[in-house]
Amino acid sequence: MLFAKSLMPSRLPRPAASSRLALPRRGSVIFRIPRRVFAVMHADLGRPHPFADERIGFLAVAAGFGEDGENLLLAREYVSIPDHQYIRDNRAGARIGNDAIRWALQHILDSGLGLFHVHSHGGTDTPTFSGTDVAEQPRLVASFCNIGPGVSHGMLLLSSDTANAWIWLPGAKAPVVAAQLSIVGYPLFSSIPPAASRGAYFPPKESGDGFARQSFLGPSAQDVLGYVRLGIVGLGGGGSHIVQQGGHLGVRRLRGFDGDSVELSNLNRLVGAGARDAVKKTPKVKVAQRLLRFISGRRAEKMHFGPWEKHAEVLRSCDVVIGCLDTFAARRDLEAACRRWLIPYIDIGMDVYQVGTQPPRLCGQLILSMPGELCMHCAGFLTPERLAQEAAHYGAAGGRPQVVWPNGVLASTAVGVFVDLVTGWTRRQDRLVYFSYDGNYGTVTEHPRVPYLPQAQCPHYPLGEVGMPLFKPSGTL
Amino acid sequence: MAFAPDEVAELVQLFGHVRQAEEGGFTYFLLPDVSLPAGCAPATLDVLLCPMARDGYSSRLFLSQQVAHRGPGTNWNAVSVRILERNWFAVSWRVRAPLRLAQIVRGHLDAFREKSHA
Repeated sequence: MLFAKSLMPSRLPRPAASSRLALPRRGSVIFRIPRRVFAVMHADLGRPHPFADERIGFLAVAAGFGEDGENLLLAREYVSIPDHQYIRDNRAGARIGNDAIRWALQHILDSGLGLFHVHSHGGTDTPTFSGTDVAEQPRLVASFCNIGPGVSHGMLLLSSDTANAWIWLPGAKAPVVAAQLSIVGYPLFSSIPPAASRGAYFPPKESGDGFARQSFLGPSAQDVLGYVRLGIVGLGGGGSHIVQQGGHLGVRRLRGFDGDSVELSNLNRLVGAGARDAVKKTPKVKVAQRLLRFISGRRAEKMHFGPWEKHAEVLRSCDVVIGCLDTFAARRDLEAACRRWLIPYIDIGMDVYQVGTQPPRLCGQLILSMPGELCMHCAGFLTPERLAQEAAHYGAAGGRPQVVWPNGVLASTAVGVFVDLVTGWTRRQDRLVYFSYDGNYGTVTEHPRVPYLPQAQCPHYPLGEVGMPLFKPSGTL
Repeated sequence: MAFAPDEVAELVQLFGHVRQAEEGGFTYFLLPDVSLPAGCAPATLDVLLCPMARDGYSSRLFLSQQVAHRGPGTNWNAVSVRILERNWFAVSWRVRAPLRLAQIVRGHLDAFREKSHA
C-alpha cells in the first residue's frame, strides 16, 4: 500500500463473530517499520513450516512521543521463532509453545522495548485479523503488558505490502489501531486515515480542479500530499523555494524550522521576502507562513521559530524532512535525529569554490538518507576531515557565496524526490539518491561515487538504535 | 567501540551511575550530576563524554547547559547540539591524547577551572 494509493479503508474491518473485543478506535499513533525489517519479516513468515500452516514472529518496538504527544512506534528488530517451538494444534494456523512465549516475556524484561506478535495473511492492502486472531492474540499481548507495563505492545498482521496493527498503549485496557502505519523505504508506503477523519488535511472539493494538472501523480496523490507531514529545516535560500513549491503542490502539513530573521543580504535569494522584511527583521518562519497563505488561501501552517533542536518532538512526527543547512555538523546532527525516528531525510546544499585564476565553480549536492540504508557518512559526503576542518572555523558558515538559481535547482530537485518518494509515481524502487549539481554547466547528475558505494547496511545508524536512546549501565555494551 | 574495563570501572567509581550509548558511530558516556570546578554556576550538572575523535577534537565533553565560570574555556562552539535526544553545550577545549577515560573528563573540566595565582 503506497503512500500514494494507500488510503485506509474508510471503515475498519468488521470483527469476526467470535471476537470478544470491541472494534478498536483509531489512536494517535504513528507506526514506522523500515523496509529492511519488513522484508525480513515477510521472508521469514512466508517460509513453509514442517506442520504449521502459518508462521509467527515477534517484533521489538521502540517508542517515543512526537508532535502534540503523538505516540511513535518504531520497529527495531524482528525475531523469528524456531520450528521446534511450534506446537501442533488443528484449531489454529500456527501455535507456539511455552518456550517461545517465555523468550518473548524475557525479551521485554531485558530490553525495555515493546513487543508485537506478528504473522501474515498474504494478499495486498490492509489485512484483517481473523476471528481466531482476535480471540486469542490479545491474551498473549495482555501478558506482554503485564511484564512491560510502561511500553506499547500489540499484534501485527502483514500483507505483502503493508500491515495492520492493534496496539495496547501503556496503561490502556483496549487496543487502538495506528492513525498511520508506514513502511519506510523508497517509495514510502503508508496508510493514512480516511478522508472523514483527516479534517483540514483533506483537500477541499473546490481544490480538485486546482490540482488537475498534476493528476498523473496517481489517483490518491493529492490525498497523500495533503496529509504527509513535510519538515523543512532552514527556511532561507533553499528552504523558501521548497515552502513555495510545497504550497503549490498542495502539501497541507508543512513544518518549518528556522531561528533567523530576514537581513538585507538574504534578499538575493529568499523567496517571499522583500525589502520591508529586511528592515523589520521579519522572522523567516513568518515569511514562509505568509507565502503559504498567499498560495493556498488557508490559515498559516505551523512554523517553528528557533532551531529544530528546540522543537524536536515536532520533527519526530514528520514523514519526510528536507534539510537546507549551511554546515556539515548541522547536517550530521539532523541526519542522526531523522535516523533515530525512521524519517527519510533529503539534504541539499551548494557552495562556490575559487581555485587560482579559474572562474568560480558553483556546485552542490542532493542526498536522500533513507533509514536502514547508506547514510551521508557512508556516501563519503560527511567525513571526519570535513567536520574537523569546519570545526576549526568554529562551525561558522560566515558570508559564504549564495545565489538564487542553484538554490532553486537543488530545492526543485529535492521536491521532485520528495513527491516521487511519497506518491511512487515513477515506480522506481529502492533508489539510492545522491546527485551532484554543476552550476557552471547547469547539470544534475548521479554522483560519480554512487556505483562504488558499499551495498552493506549502514554501520553508523543501526536499526537497533531507533527510538529514544537506551542508555546501558557502563560495562555492558 | 569497546573501552578497557578498568578505565570504565574507574569512571564509574569516580562519577557513580555512569551509563553509555551509541549514536552515529560514536560512543558516549553519560555522567549524571557531575560536580564542576569551584566557581561554576550551576555547580553540578549532567555531562556527556565522547572519548572519540569528533569535530576535530580528540575527545569532547558536552554539558547539559552553559555554565558561568572563571576558567579559560570561554568559546562555546557547540550550542544546543542534539545528541542522544538531548541538547548539549561544549566549549572549544583540547585534551591531549591518549589518556584514561577519567583523565579525559578531568582534562575537559580544566576548561572551567579558575587558574590559581599562588
